[in-house]
Amino acid sequence: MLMDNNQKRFVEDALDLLNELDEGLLQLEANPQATAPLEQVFRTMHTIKGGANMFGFENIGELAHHLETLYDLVRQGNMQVSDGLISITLHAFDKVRDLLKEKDATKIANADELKDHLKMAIAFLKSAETESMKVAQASVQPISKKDQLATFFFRISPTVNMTIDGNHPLVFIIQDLEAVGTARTFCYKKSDGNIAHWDVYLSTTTAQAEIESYFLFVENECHVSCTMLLACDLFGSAEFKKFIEEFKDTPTDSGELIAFVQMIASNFNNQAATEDDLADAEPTRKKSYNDTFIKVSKRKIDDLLNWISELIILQAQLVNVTSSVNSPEITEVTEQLEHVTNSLRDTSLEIGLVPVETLVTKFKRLVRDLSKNLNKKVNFLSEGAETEMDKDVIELMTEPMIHIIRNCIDHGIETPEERRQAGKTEHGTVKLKAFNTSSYVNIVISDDGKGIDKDKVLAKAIEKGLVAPDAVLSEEETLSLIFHPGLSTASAISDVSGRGVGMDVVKQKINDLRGYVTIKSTQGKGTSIHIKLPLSRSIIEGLLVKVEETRYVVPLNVIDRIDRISYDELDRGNQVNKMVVVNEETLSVFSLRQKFHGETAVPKTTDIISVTVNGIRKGIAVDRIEGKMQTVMKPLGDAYQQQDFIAGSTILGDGSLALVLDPSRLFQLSDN
Amino acid sequence: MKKTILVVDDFASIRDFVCETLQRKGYETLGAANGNQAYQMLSDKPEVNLVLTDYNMPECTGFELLKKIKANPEIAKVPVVFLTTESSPDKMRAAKEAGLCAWIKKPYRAETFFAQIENAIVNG
Amino acid sequence: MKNNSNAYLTFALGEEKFAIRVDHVQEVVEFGQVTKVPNAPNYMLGIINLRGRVLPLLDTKLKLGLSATTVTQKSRIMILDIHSSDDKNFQIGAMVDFAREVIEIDANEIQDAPEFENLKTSAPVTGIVNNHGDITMIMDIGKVFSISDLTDIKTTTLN
Repeated sequence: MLMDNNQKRFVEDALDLLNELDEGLLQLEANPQATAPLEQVFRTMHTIKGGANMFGFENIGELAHHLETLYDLVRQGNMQVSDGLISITLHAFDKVRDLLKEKDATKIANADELKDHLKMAIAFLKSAETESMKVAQASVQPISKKDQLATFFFRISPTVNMTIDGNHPLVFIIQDLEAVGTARTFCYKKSDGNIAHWDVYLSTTTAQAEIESYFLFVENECHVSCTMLLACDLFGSAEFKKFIEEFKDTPTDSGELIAFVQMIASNFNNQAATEDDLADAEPTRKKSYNDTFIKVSKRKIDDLLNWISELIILQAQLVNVTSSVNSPEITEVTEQLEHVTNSLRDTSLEIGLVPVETLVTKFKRLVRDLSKNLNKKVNFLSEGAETEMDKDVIELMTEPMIHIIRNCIDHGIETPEERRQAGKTEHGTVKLKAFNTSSYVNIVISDDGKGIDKDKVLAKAIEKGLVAPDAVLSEEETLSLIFHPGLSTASAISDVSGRGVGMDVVKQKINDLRGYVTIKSTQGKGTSIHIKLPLSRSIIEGLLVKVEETRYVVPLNVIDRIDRISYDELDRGNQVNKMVVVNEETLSVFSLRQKFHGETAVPKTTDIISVTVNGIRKGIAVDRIEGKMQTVMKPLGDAYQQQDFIAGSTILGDGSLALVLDPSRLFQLSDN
Repeated sequence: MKKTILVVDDFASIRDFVCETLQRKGYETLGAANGNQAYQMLSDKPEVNLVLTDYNMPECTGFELLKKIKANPEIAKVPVVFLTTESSPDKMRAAKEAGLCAWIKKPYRAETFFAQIENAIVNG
Repeated sequence: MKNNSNAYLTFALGEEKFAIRVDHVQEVVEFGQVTKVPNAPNYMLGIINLRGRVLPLLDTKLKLGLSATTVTQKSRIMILDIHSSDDKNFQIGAMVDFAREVIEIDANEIQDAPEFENLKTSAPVTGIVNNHGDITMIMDIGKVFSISDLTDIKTTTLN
């Protein structure tokens, strides 16, 4: 049977929770004494249990319940966090996660697969309990009252009229009471059919204060007296069971009852329980990272951001239009408007951003599992997980980054013996570092493995005809050959230690996001891959330039420096790309004028913008640089799909349009 | 006339499920995802016959919602019931003193659930 | 598209008069500034700013195989809604020499389009209205500016 909508929503929520659970467990594994992750793990399992039971997945609920009990023991100090505990928990919930991918609700509910995990959990629980009991007896400390079985006597006398088949909540509350343990209830009626009182004999592990609280909200409609008879399950005694049956028609006199129980007690040789201390209040459930988040549909956020971009453009136009109006009042209002709009823009940049943390948890798992599989010892470190990134971009970058990390562990980090021989620590380290620079988010994934053999890469590239035999390549250029499709196939790679497999796809995905990626590596020491992604895909910072009558925007992040040279130096031989001496170095310069515009009215001087794209340094020649700007970029639309060297357009203050360049795609034009 | 119940829970799946359950029993329902939203809806629409809310919610817990409602004379009369996994006697007592009408534990049995709701609406 | 009205927008390309259903036309605006996007087919004149929205501007004459439009005071841009088979919509600006009025054309006024020998254009003409020798050609604008045409790499010709 397919899932109904409620179950589908539960599955969505549950998958989120399982992620949180993983995070908590990994933290706990690293830090067995820490209380915060312990609480989080406990809380999350509790929530999963509640939801699972509610929506018909009792097998999941049961599993969660047993595991939750284990962690409760830890909370009470009766068990230590151990590798075994973490492992069975991780595996159990991995199974749950797999199950939840099923579309058929009945399949999930009937799944056998959880039985083994349940058995393991129960076995673990039993051994833990025997352990803790031994410890408790040894140190003469009472086991937590919460789990102690006791038998109670309740007398509930309604103060308003109600019948046994009526709808008064009290009737149902008593049924709930019976459900918490083993119970025997006697209901005594008055002559008019209304209920005189109930006598309930109940053995349960639930604390007295808690069962008494069942009646809290009907206090005004009944009297409740609760006496604890004995700190054990009296229903285990045949005498007791026979004794209470005598009260079927007439209620007991409580004195009589207590006397009888005491007699049994002396036979059992048990201690009477002392005053129950109230169970610790259950910790409030916290969702995600802290208490102050609400779920908002992504569509609403996108709409909001679109309107904010429109506002920014209009505000720029307003400034332009009113600049010629000589009115101090207008000027003041427009200045304030600019201030507010700037703040709105800054806030809107942040809205779609979430911390990179979610990725970090995934990677921790990945590293843990991979290193176990490959028999390597690898530590995963992260720095800057609170750095924020656009949520969509995180999702799109997950696969590529997983791929990179896999490569690090597979081909970068050596086996423990190799590392020992190389004088390194047995444990290799894979590190993810995230940080912001202006309007970019940077992610650096590094390892301290054996590095990449540059000579081999170069040799292979020459062999495959990707590079001329006599070419002189910088270190960065050599390493970036790894991203080349020709070098990325498995067959090409075997000599270069598999590092490049699939890297062309990774680079493509990063390019599509208008990001940049570079590799650095030192043989024997390690490799690091630096990814740079724009924080917002629609707001960009750049240099506004003019070529003939057209204005372009060059994104700021790739710009190294700007220089001015005479136009003559550029204009030799009608070529688009020329080697020009700029700042005492030769630079290959791409002339926008030559490529796209005419020779009319050539300027005397030309500004050269030096950019570094994908590790390669080039220049872009324009007529004049007009200034720096931050602006909202609008896509050109489907009609201009082919012209991908233009990332989009932007509306300037005077209403005219400027074309935003995509430098890496621009340079590809001249390669053809 | 149909009675209206305002259901408050930050878990969409549970909220929708409870609303459906109540609708099948003949109640009109409204849904809110957090305490602040619920309070806003109540202020706009005081003809709600009962507020059924979770306890643990971000930003404004069920308990805080209860206090807000009782502090506003225009809507203080609306009975409030908690539907929650919480079972701490201390919390229950505090809620009762703050004016809570009934406390239903999750998971609930249908009979208890409806009986408590009926009772709250009538005697609230 | 439901044929609600028989309202057509009439315009001129050179000497020829054309009409298209108003359903496709959002509005008609005067020619203002256009920013050329390099490396695009010659019929794509560039992009324009329509009250804060960026739209591509196409030369209708060039797209139909006629000579390029000479921009005059009377030149107008028709803002058109283009639909595609996979439910994608977008808007484009199409430049014409003159934009005339919106007129009602009854279905019975429309005659089949004969094979005009002097029809220089490759316009997809679905019928003609003959008003005492004054011919207006009814054009299927969706065929003129089809999405596949505009995005097809094969039709990309460099300037």
